[in-house]
Amino acid sequence: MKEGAPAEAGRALAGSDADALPTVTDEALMTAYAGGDATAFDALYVRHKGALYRYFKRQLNDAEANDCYQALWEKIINNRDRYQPDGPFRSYLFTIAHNVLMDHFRRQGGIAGVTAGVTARATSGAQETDPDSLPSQGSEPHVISERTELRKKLHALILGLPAHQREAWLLRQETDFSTADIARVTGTSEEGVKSRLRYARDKLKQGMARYVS
Amino acid sequence: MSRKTESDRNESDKKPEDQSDWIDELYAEGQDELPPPALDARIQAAARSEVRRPWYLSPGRLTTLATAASLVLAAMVIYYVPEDPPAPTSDADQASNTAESPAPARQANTEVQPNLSTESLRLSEQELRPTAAPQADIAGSRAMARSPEPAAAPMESKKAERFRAVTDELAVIRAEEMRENQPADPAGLVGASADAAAAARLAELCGPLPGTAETRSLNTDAVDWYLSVIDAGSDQRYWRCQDGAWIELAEPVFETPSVEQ
Repeated sequence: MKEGAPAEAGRALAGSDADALPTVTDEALMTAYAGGDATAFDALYVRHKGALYRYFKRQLNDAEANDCYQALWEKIINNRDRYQPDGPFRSYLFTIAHNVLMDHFRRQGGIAGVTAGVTARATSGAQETDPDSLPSQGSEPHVISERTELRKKLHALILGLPAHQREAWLLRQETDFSTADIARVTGTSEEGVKSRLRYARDKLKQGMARYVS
Repeated sequence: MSRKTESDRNESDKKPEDQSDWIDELYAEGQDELPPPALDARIQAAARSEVRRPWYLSPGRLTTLATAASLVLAAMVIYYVPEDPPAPTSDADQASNTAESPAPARQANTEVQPNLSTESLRLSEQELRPTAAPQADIAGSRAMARSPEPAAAPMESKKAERFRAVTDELAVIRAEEMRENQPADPAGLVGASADAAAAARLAELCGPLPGTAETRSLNTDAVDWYLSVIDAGSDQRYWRCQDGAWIELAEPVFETPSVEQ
């Protein structure tokens, strides 16, 4: 798809169903949606909804995550006319997600206040001392349930990380972003991102160590 | 599944993209969590209704239309609302005005023009006199014709007062935010140079500096400062002198805070 040709992109995608669009780039889909093709938005939404939803879900409670997730897509929809495909769409998407998250924290009284409350919720859920060894991934029901429990504990620990570390770690997990990409999305330096990732990983390992032999 | 030990020091030599981790694997197993279907439906319905909306009713267009409409109305008000008609003058005044009006032109090159100033004074007096001719003015418009300035002044001063109040309040909030975000800086390092004198001040305030002269580094900039220590075989650690003791930072904070994100 050529850039700067939204009308052509719209015509090319019009009438296609979402199944026929996996080879179309995100940028072309967004340009097509800006040109009036709702099918393009559906394809775009299906591609990115999981990562974005989990990005918010791992940092907020359910209601707040749903609100922020919806606010993000409202911004995408309302600003479709201003979209310029001058960079990767995923970076554009997660930059808006980051801004929505920061706006939410500001309304809640700043990152420090929110983190304290989140930490309290997280640590209260991760206090169990269960010295089971880390079960290997398998299909047996008891193994699956143990893995599920471990994942819940991991999610609780993630929620208890400092906000900046948590966000950097989640962006690394949910996207294919490099440290440079994460730095651009979060408005910080690459060195800062590397340190945050390192600290986050170390804290999560320390926290999970009590659950594994 | 093999599980890496805590010898993550070796991993720091690898590129981040090459590091696999059992934590990452455990997290990845839960990456099938999706938003509730009702939320999906709501968002996709909103997206569809936006593109079905006429182009001139999209949010961006509406703002542009409203702005354009405001400008057009303002232009109409400026150009089409008639100005206050000049106050009617008596025949004697009109005759003297006619006689005197050429005078300033003749006298312009020779002397100061007292006639002009007299004429303008007379005209201003006439403007200030209430109109003698019967007019279908309501009381409000007559009051406006007499003294347009005082009627507008109270509204303008109220707006200015409100604006000042909001600006002052914002300034207070910003100042509070700046104070909250200020790092502890007993040695006055923010905005200063990280030299031996600064290190000596820190030692006096909080005791011996962590690390050694070879492994530590004092970092300052316009808004923040910290001491970093890289011991052999370990990761970088960050410290700040606060309340008479060295406090290890949970995360390095060395970014210029943005005002608005």
